[in-house]
Amino acid sequence: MSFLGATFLLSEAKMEKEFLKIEKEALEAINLVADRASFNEVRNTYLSKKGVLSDLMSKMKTLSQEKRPLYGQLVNNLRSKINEALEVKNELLEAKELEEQLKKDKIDLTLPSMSKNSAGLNPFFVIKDEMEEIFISMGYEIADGPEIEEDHYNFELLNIPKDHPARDMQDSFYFSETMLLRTHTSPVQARVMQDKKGESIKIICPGKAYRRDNDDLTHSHQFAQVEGLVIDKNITLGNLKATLDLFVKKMFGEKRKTRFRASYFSFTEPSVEVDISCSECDGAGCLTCKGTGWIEILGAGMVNENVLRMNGYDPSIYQGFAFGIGIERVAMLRYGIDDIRRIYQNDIRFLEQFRAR
Amino acid sequence: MLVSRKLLEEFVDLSGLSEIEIANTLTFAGIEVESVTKLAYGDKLVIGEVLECSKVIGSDHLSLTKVNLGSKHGVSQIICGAPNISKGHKVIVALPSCNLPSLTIKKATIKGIESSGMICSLLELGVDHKFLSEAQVSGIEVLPSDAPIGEENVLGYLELDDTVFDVRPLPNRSDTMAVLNLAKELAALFKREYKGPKIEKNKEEVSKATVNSKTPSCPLFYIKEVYGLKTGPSPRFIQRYLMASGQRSINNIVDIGNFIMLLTGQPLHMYDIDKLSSLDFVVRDDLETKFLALDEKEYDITKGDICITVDGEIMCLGGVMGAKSCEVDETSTNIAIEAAQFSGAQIRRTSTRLNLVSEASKRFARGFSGAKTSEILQLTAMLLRKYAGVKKESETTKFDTLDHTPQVVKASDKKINSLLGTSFTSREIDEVLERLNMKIERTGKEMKVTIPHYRIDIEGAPDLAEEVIRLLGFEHIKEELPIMPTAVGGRTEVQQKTFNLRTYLRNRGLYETINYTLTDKDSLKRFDYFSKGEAYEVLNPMTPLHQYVRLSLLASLLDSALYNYSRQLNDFGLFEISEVYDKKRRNTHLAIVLVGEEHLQGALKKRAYDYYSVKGYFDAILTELGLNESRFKIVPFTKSSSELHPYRSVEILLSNERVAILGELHPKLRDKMNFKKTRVAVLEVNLSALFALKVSPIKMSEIAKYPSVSRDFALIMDKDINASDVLKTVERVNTKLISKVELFDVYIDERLGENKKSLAINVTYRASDKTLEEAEIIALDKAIVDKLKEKFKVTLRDG
Repeated sequence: MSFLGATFLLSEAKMEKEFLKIEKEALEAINLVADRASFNEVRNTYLSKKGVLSDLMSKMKTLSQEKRPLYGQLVNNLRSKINEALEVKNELLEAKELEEQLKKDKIDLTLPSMSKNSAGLNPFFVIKDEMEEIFISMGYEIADGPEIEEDHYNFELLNIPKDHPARDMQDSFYFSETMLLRTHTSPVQARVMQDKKGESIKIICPGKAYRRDNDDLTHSHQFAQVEGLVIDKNITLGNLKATLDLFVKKMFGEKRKTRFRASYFSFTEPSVEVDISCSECDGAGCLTCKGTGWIEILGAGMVNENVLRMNGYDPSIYQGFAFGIGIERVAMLRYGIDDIRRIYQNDIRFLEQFRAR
Repeated sequence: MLVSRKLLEEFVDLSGLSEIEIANTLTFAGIEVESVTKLAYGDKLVIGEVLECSKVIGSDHLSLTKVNLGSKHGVSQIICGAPNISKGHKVIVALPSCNLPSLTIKKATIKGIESSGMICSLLELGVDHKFLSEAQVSGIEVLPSDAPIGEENVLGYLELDDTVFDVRPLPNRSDTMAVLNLAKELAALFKREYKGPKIEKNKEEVSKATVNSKTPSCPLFYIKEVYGLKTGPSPRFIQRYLMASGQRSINNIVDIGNFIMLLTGQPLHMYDIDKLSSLDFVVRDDLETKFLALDEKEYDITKGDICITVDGEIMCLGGVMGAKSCEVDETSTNIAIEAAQFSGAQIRRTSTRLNLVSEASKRFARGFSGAKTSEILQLTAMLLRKYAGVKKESETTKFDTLDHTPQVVKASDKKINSLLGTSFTSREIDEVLERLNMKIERTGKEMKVTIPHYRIDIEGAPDLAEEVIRLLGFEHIKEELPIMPTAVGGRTEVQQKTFNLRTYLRNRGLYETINYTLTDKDSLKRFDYFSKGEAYEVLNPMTPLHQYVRLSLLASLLDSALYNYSRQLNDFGLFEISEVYDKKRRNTHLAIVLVGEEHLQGALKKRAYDYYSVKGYFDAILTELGLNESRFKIVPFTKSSSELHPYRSVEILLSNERVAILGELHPKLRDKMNFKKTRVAVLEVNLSALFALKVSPIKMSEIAKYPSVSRDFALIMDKDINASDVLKTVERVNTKLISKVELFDVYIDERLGENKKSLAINVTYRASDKTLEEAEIIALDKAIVDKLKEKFKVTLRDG
């Protein structure tokens, strides 16, 4: 360094000038720093034990007492200037280094995610669950009963006496003279009535049932129903109509209408067949509803007095309604499923289509 | 049942009512009309006379005709392909633009010759094949020579201008399987008058017959003899009405029998008196013998079959078929006519067993009123007098144990309205019931309703309520949700748990399935690890594939998995929750099948489904149900030798009762099932056993205030030692201070020694009331190491 020769000879003014020169050189050097290595080099040059500032400090003792304070002040000023400049540079370098580090973390943002999707829903269960929810919201309990049933419950207690055509061996799966796979969920009616012993009843029972039908587009030897039963002192056919109308609107949409047609079931009297207005054509008539504007959806009626009596309810006090809705039938109608067998095939390509919407 | 509109109109005025109106009204009233068809159809027909007829040159069958169609239509040139076309014939011509049931006629040019119209056969007008002779089918219809040329109402001339309703009465309305009753129903529905047939009585001779029934299956048996009849063709109107009802005309005797059944619902049987040894009829059902029937086939008669015998010989299988020996044929002149009531159930059994279901047997099976049997026989005799030359008839000989007093039903306006949710007045109710020929007697609020004999379905007030609403219309019902005492609805605890599990499994990406309950004999034995009793076997299976009630869910679920796998789906999971039955138990099971690999990050990161995957589901199920794994014992599953991998499957015991099996499919079974090399992991749990376990209610406990200490141990031990045993042992060293034990590394290397492995575990110490001191920590470390050394002979790895 050019000024190191005879500092002690310098005048004060000269001294200040020298320091300014050193400062300028240092700041220029810092300014030129572009990476961590040159940063360290510049810092060492000025601030290390053998650096410029140490060297300047060591010269102090050669000065006269009068000059020393000023000299000391000049050295300290210089040190803080350099430190400040280095600090600024350091921050710049750190920001640059972080950016480089982050760049290395760069990934393909379009690769598959770690999501774990839920499975497609089974339309059968969508309908079953939804029906349960609808009736639960109306205060219904969910009842159940055995699929392997005594003929007494499956028939007798439902006003289907021995020798009734509905009891032909060829229509049901029998295990013995008296045991069979239930042919409908209606035996649960009898079981619940006997259980509740004269209290009011408001239940549905979803469950499997079996009949000796050949499996085809619309028949299945195994199928499922939701049985409904309401018994109290003043239950009317009008209550049934309002209940089913509400159910249909929730299940098929607010615009659907229901209508009753006279029908016959052993365990209800009066009995009705319930139609809903066709959702495809809104009642105008189309292929889905065979031009009638209406689609048959379920059977229902007022609990037959014999059934009430046989199961411990006095028909002069109690009245009730009952209905049976086919789960597959509802699923097929709502989703346009053309073949009931699809529901029992468990084909993932089919199930995949039923997702939350 | 097919019913002719014209026949109905003989008894009830239906003028001004369209077919659709009639069909809809009947359907709403519970008598479903399946279809409405015209007996024959053609909208631009005319009767003509063939003036000229010559062969078309260059054709072997076509004829060129000139047909006189009368003053309005003139003479038309028509090409005709029928073999029986000839000059001078009176024929039916469909003019250009005439719509026929299966085609529309257009002017055409055939072989260069213009043809305007078509000469028709009855087949082309839509008359069913079975009513036509071979000549009528292959050729055009040749009309009588006096047929009026130019007549446009051709169907009227042919008496084919009728409409046929295909009626399907509800099971309880078998009365409407009689035209007379259907006419009464229509009269009631449309408020029209019903006019029944007029019976003209004749002088009745003393009967030579005796009748007796020795079985309750035949409570009524009437015989009427008629003498001097002559067989021949039926009058035209009977032929037409039978045709409209889908029946072929045979001869006047048979036709009159069928016609009476059509009108009244009462099947008749006729015996040739001259072929019977006497007229002493005895009905029995205790015979076991052979029987030669009218169809010349021999049938086995068993006990219960209703047999009409004369001098010990079976002359008729009641309600099903007569005997060959006393058959009525063209030579018969004297006949005994039977009208009876037979047990519907017995008729159904016999006719089904012998495969002899007929219109008659169907009617007996469904039942009908026997109150007017005498009148029916009188009506029959009257027709036989008029159309079969009967000269002499006997009085009716009767065996009758039925009570023919009309049914009286008690009801009230209040009951009827409260069942229906309506507010009909007494007048409205009376008006409806009277329309249905019921007689009402009112005393105060009570009413006594006398039911007409044919309405055998009406027994109580609810039946009357149905009649009222059926006729007045369901739109009168006041729609109102039930008002009941508030009660808590919802699922039971078990139902809710099942629901939650299903939701959990679906959310984990498993597809919910539903499989058939009935299975075959081979599948029954597959994965049968839970049954306690015999399987239920169907006595009358439709197919061996659906013969038994399944004992496990896995067998059918694996079949569903294979169904998908063989359709190019390689990685997936399925589950089913269903009840499983055997003769000793009814339980809810859950089965899971996992095939291939679990996709963690698309197909980019996958992990093969294995034992740990299904074990994971089992653990998760326990967590979902709030159950602690420590309640269960997990042991290698040794029972299965061929279905599950012997070293990668376990059974889970709850007080020594198996509650689950899980593991990987045995590679041999996997290959046999054609899962190729894909790994399949399965699980079946008896959920009922888990649901039955008591779960303690949740009580908040204090959150630890003092810091915990975490210590790692690297342990070398024999390879066969179960990690879970090690972890449990550590836990038990000090259950108060050791709060968590976790395995974080398993390492197998020859350098550890032969058959050795290294387990790395992390143990957390924590006291609830203070910070642990160094000395206590060291003491715990030592206690753990000592215990492990003692029990498993472990060595510590590098300190």
